[in-house]
Parts: sequence; C-alpha cells; structure tokens
Amino acid sequence: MKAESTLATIAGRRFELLPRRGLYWPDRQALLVADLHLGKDASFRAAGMAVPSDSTKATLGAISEMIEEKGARELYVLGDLFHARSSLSLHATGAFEAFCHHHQDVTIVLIRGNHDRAVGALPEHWPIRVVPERLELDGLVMAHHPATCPSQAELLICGHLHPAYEFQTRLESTGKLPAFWWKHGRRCLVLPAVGKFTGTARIKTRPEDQVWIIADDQVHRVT
Amino acid sequence: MSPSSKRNTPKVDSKTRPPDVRSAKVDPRAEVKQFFEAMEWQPFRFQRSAWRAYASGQSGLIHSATGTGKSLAVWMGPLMQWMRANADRSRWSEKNPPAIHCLWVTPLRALAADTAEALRRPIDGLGLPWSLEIRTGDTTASRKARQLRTLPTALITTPESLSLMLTRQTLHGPLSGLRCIVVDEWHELMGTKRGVLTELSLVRLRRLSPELQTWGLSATLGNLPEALESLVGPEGAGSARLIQGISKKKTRFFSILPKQIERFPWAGHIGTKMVPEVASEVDRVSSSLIFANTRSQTEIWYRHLLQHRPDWAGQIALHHGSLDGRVRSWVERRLREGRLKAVVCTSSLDLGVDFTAVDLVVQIGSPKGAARLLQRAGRSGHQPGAISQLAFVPTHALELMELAAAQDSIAEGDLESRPTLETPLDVLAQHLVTVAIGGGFEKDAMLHEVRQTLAFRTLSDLQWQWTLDFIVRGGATLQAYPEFRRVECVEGRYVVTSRRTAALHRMNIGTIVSDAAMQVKYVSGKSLGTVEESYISKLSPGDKFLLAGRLVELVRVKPNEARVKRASGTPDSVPRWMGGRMPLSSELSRSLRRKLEQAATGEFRGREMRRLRPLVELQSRWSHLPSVDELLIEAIRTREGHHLFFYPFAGRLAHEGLAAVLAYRLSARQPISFSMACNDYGFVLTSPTEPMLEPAIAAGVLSPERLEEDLKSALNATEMSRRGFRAIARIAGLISGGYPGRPTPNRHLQASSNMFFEVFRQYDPENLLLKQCDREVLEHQLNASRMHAALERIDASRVVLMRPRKMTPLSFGLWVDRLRERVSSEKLADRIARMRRQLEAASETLTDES
Repeated sequence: MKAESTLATIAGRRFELLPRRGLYWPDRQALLVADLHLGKDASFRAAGMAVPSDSTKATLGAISEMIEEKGARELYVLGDLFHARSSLSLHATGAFEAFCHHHQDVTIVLIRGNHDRAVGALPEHWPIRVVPERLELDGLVMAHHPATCPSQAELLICGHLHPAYEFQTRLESTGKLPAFWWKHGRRCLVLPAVGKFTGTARIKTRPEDQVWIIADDQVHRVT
Repeated sequence: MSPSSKRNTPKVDSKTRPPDVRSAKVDPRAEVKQFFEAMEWQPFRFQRSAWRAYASGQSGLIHSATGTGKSLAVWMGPLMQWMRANADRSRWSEKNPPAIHCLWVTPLRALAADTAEALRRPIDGLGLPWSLEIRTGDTTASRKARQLRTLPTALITTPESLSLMLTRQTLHGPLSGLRCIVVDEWHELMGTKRGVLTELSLVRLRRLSPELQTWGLSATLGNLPEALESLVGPEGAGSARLIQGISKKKTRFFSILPKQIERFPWAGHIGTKMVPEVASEVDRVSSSLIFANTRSQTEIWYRHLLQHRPDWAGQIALHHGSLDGRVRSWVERRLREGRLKAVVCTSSLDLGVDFTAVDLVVQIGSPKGAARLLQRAGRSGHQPGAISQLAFVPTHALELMELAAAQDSIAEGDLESRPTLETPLDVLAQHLVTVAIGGGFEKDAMLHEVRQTLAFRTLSDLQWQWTLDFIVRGGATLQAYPEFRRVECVEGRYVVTSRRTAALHRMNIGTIVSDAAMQVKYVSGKSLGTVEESYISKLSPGDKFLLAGRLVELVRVKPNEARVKRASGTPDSVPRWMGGRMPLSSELSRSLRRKLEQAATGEFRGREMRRLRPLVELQSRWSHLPSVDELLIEAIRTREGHHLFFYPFAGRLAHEGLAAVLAYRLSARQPISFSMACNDYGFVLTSPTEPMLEPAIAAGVLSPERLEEDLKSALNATEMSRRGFRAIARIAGLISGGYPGRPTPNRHLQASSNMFFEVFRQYDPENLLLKQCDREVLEHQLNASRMHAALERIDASRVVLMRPRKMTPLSFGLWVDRLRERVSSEKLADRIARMRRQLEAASETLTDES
C-alpha cells in the first residue's frame, strides 16, 4: 500500500507527519526522527536471548526511504541513537556506517538522550555532529526529553516517550498504535519511536491535545 | 521420623503398632492388611489389582472420580516393594532413612501439603523409617539445599520442580535408585505444555533409572488409552495397565428454575435473579461449593449472596485464581474444617483433596462439558452413604437443554477426551537446556530419548535440528550470531557452561505464563490478589471495582502494582479476566443436537426438557428445530439490517473462525460488509444490504475446502498469534524475567512480547517457534480442527433456510451478544475511518489537509 502522510500546521509551521514514523520539516528540508535504539537486538543476543538481527538494518532502511522520498538535506536524531554499549556490535556499527556513507550529502545531527549517555562516546570518524541536550533552530527547539517549550521559542519537538494511543469508540478499540502527540499546554510535539525493535507506552492526553495515529502505512488525526 | 518443619511435613495422628508385636522379618501383605484393619478400611478390588500389578513390575494408570481411593491404590505398591527388599526390621533406622524410592508429582503446589498428610498416614501406620518431604516453589532455600545433599525416601514435587531437579548433575547418582514415580491428576496435565514437560522429565528419569515404574492417577476421560501412552510412552503402553477405580457414585442432578421461564434466553444476564432460590438450597445443607465459570461471575455472585443474606458474613467465602495465595489457603482450610457455609469459586477448586464437609455443589451456567459436570458433582457427598448432588442454575433458558444433554452424555459414558499436544518445540527447547545444564547430552542419544515420548514421537529431523540450532546459535544455521551464548557443543556434548545462563534458566523454568497480571494491594500494603493489566489500564483513580469480595477504589497505578482503598457504594465495573471462556465441548454439543432432534419429534424427556417445552415449540412454530443431519440458517430482517443466523453447534471458538470465513467468502462474491457475533450454538452475520445466500451456498460457500487459507485471509490472525507468542517466547527462553513482583534483571533487556513477535514476524518468518504459535492459534484459539469437522458435517447435511419474521429463541442469544463480541475483518485503516465518522468531528483548531 502506498504510504500516505498527513500535513499539519503546528505553531504556525507546516510539517509532514510520515507513516514511517518521522517528521518532515519542508521549510528546512529536514527530517526529524527519534528513538532509533540501533543494535538493541545485539544487546539481547549478548544476554542469551535469540533475537534476529535485521531490525537495525530495517530501521536505517526506513529512515533512508524517508530521506529519499522527501529529498531531505538534514537529518536530526532526537536522542537514543544506539541502545546500549553492547549494541555497538560489528553488525550494527557496520550498518550505521553504510547508512552514513549512502547519505553523504545529508547533514546528520544527534541530540543526546539517556541511552546515548550510557552508550558513551561514538567513534570519532563518524560524520555526525553530537549536541549535548538541546538544539534551537528558527524558533523551534529540538530535544530528547519532553518539556515545556521555553518562552523564546514557539515549539519544542522531542522523543523519549515512544508514544502510543488507543483509539476508541463506545463499542470498539483499535488497540495501541504508535502516535505523534502535540501537547498543547506545553507546546511540545512528541515523535513516535522510529526504531523497529522498540516498545511503546500508552499516553494520557488532555482534551486540547492533538494525536495522530499511525495505522497500516497511513497517518490519521484522531483528536 | 526425620525432623521437618511444620510447613512442609505436617505431623499427623495415626495409629502405630505397639512395639512388642513386631516380628523380625516383615511380611508386606500381612502388614498392609493389619494397617487397613487398624484404620477400619476395607481394600477395594481395584486397589488390590493395582498392588498386584505393581508387584509384578508393571506401570499403569488408575482412573476414577475423586475421593475413591486412588492414592492408596497406587501408594501401597512402592511401600510393599520396599518392605520386600528390606524385610529385616531390625535394620530399619529412622535416623538414617532409606535413599530415595518414590517421587510423587502433583500439578498444584498448593496441594502438596494435603498430599503429604495423606501419604504419611500409611508410612506411620506401617512404622516405616521413611522420610517424606516436599519440594516446590514454596520450599525454603535451606531445605532445598539439604535435599540436594540427601534426597528423602519419598519426595512430593511439581512438574516444574522436577524439571529443576534435572538441572542438577549431582542428583544423577541418587536418582538412579528411584523405583517409582506417581503423577497425580494426570488428566489435568495431559494435553498441556506442563504435561509435555512431565513426559520429557519421565523419559529422562527412565534413562537414569531403567527399572523405574511409572503410575498415574486420573479422572475418567474419553481417551484413556492415549492418556496411558502419554504417561508411560508409546513403547511402554503395551505392557502397562489401565485400572478402573470405583465407577460413578450415585449422583443427583437437579435445576434451580425460575417460576416463569421467560420466552427468550437472556444471554449475558448472569442469572443473579436466582440468588434467593440458590440461597435457600444452600441453607438446606451444611456446606456447599458454588461454581461459576468466570472469576468476575464469582465476585458478582458472592456480593449478591451477601446482600441477600447479610447474616452469612464470615460464613461464606470466595475462591479463585487471582486472589492472594494466603486468602485461598485460608478458605481451603476452613472448608476442610467444615466451618464455611458456602464457597463461591471457579475451577480453582476443581482439584485437590476432598472436602468431606461439602454436601451440595451448585453450578452456575453451563459447565461446557459432561466430564467436568460429573467431576464437579463428585466434589460433594463424601460421607459414607451420602450421594453427590449438583444443583444447576441456568443463565439463560436454553442452557437447561445443555444440562439435559450432559446427563445423557454421562449416562452413556460419552465423556470428553483431552487431546494431546503435538511437538511443542518451545517445551522441547526448555527441556534441552535443562538437560544441558544438568550433565549435558549427546545429540543422537537425546533424539532417541525424546522420541520415546508421545508428544515427540513424530519429531522430524528438521525440527530437531532447528531446536538444537535455536538453543546453541539462537537461530537457523545460516545465520551467525556471534554474541549469542546459551548452550555450547563441547567435544560432541551439549552443555551449558555459563553460570549466569544456568541461573536465568532455572528462574524461567515452568513459566507457563498467564496474562500480564498486576498485583492489587491496599495502600496499607495488604495484598488482595491480581487483576489483568488490560483491565486496570482502562480505569482512572476513583473508579470502583470488586475484588476478593470487597468493593475498592483505585488510588494509583505503579508499574507492577495497583493501590486501592476500601470504598462504599456500587462498583463501576467488575474485572474481567481473559481465561475461563471455554467453548461447549464437541461431545456435549453432539448430545445437545440430539436433544433438539428429539424435541422436534415431540419427545421431551426429563424435567428440564419439559420446562423448556413452550420455548422449544415456539422455535418450531416460528422457525424450525434442526435434526442431527440438518444445518439451520435463519434469515431475519430488522431495522438494523439483514441478519443471517447459522447454527452449527460447534462451540464459540470454532464459530468465530467460521463467521469470519463465511463473511470473507460472501463478500468475495458481492460487494457487502458484515459485522459478526458468536456463541456456543452459532453465529450471526449482519449486513446493511441483503446477502445472496442461496446461490452462494450452491457455489460452495460452506465448503470445508480451502478452510485454512480462507481463515488466514479472513481473520486478523496475527493479532491472535501475537498473544499466543508471549507464552511460547517465555517457555523457550526467548524472553526472561518480569514476573509480577519480580524485576527484570536488566532494564535494558526489557521487551514486551509484542515487540518480539513483530521482530520475528518481519525478520525471521521461518522461525519454527512462530510456526508453532500459528499452529497453536489455529488449533486452540480457533479450534480449526473442530471448524473443519463442522464444515465436513454441514457438507453432508441438508441446509434448511428459514425466514422468520422476528427473532426466534435460538437467535435471541446471539442477538443480544452481538453488542459484546465484535469480530472484524475490516482493514485497520477502514476501521479507523469508520470509527472517526462515528465520533463527531470536533471543531478543529489546527487545520489539516489529508
């Protein structure tokens, strides 16, 4: 099925919410993703749990597709690039290096999250710029952890929560689906986790919030 | 007697013989005779047969209702065997009890203490110097360590603890002297994964001790020869004995009926209108067990009974699997002491030592099977000369017919079979790691050993190789996972060298997982029981619900537990636990269809059928009563649309699949969409436009061909597989840790089974565990073989299509149920679009263009 994205205007800016779980910012030709947790499968295997290895490649593949589809020139990773120190397996690091190589013309920026701190320093020769906590660009703040948007900016985009939402009517429910979550009171937009081997957490929304769920390669606004 | 803690080996009063009567040389038969006389018991013929069979070196299975002396029938065998081999009484020393002679496996560790008491009586009565101990999850670490150093003469344990024992290489020596193993309540274990685990452990023990005799105790089943085969292995079955205990005690069945049978069965109404009548029946006797089919029903009934009879406070109790263990023990104790008027329970009280005090069993709603009905009735009337009594409370009128049908089945001896599981690889994987830890194994020898069980008799070389690869490499041979470490092959032997792996595995053993359960505790800390996470997640603080008979209010939810406080008023909801929704058994539905046929010919035998007569005649007038070789379809039109009611009587699970397949096939022929509902009698498809049914039937829409393919296309089978995968992943050791109350070893290694399922489905679709999961979903969640059988039967039947002008008695149950069970074959996106249209579009503050 052809993937259908949804356009939304948030805090006066146009964004495209992509069903592969990324956010495209057309004004800057930038793709924003969060919570990749690359190499998580390797961490599990090291502990004796037989998880297949392709989720790392598939995560990077999905991001590649989004970059190519939109013609993005910049990639911002809003935290949790790799899962743990044990995730830096030969296989996972090789896949990431191949990804960087394939997108040589794309500027890659990592805004550190809690897992990145545990992973520690990344190889020096990797063509990525690492920002310790927040990055402010054109009145938009990018961070890993959700927070209230600072007064000098207009919105804050983050990850960390791996948001999922259960869409319900009186008689039925869709079950948990990954979601984009606009927290109106805090002017904070939470991105879904883009990693293929990640869990999700159910969110509790307020009436004034907006939620877009991702179902079957489509993005639907539900509140 | 060996010193023992009160908890594990309770001391019992028994009659021991005065010392001066003892002679130097022991005659086992005479000793046993004297023991029986002293206890004022008379051995039954079947008990003597069992002792003789045991003495001649045989293994076997003894089957009969509970409370009929099976334990003694099997236990005296090994006792006499030991006496024959140790006839010199002067050498008997209680300070040095003999080496391990007998293992007794019980499915529930809660039963271990009672079992110990019962087994101890003959040991004491005969003056044997035996030590008897218990080894389960409840046993203290220090005691377990002592047992590892010196095993007692007799050990009572569970399948899981037995498996754990097999991880100890140091026990190989002592276990080589084991002479007897008894598996209690084999009918409960058989056909389950725990049963398969037991089968594997049994062949292992036979390898360690070739002279081992295996005996099983079971209720009566429809497939006893198969039960014997799974216990002693297919090769051993030829020389093993099947011994029948005392057949049915006298049982009296009667129904508690409303004065006016309503015209239509009100499905979903749980019959609490009958509380006053039930209360007066309970009042007539000293003590009753009131069985309900689900945990929520017990909570509701308990509350209603208390409201009706507040004077019963403290005299009636509640018992189900999600209550705190201490509460359950308390209830069991008081029941045994005869201090409770009634206990409202689920199948949680199906097993176990008999409660002699119980005079009456009340069964609310259909027990779904004749064997279960019989077994439950048998829980009453244990005093000498008493008969078993069961009072049936229908929750809708047609259920009365089920009681009538069940009585027919019982009279004809047509009891349910427990089908055995076929090659569950997750259990095999778990067992192989167990053996690898406990001494290791060689590939070919182990394959030969495993194939001696009934469960793995047909294990293919491919499946075997896959499982070995799984435990060694984590996957198929083509993929190399350098970081993975579990079992290693060292010089041709498969072993586990890492202590961490061994520890993790031991922690995991026997995790036949129940749904994610969340502890519920008072704010003060006292534990009430568990509730499913999916239920709590739908509540907000302040919401009130019933649990353990109390009305509580949710205060807060933490990751693994929910805190509540006492509340007053009425509950906002009652927890729903996913288990306990068994379908009507095939045997019972066969009987039911025969009953309908009898009614069609004007035959109404028995009080229940006579009460149902007006309702049944109504069905006949407005529509039709199907005979055994007919399929009834009712096409009814209402304001809501066109409804097609089908009545295959194949049980709820099979109907879910049949409904989806039929909807799929019909919608392939014309543009139409359906919503569905199912119950044990049939299913209904509802559509806004009229379905062209007759040409569709002529074209084969009811054909059994291509059933599996159509099922996969029709159903969101992945959703069901997802749920099933969790258990398989835990058993095979794919995921570990994370029981309620026990933290996972490493936060970074937390993963939900959903995540695992997705990652396997996408990146390792040929994974045999996944395939096992699909198979299990097909069979256990959908009852595919029963579905197939139903379609085969329909193929050979006459289809009777009626067009009643209004809802008929048969249809009404489904009609009411349709609001609850919604099986959808819509694509997720379409479904969301439809749901959005249903919800009103609020005014938008943000514009969006799609």
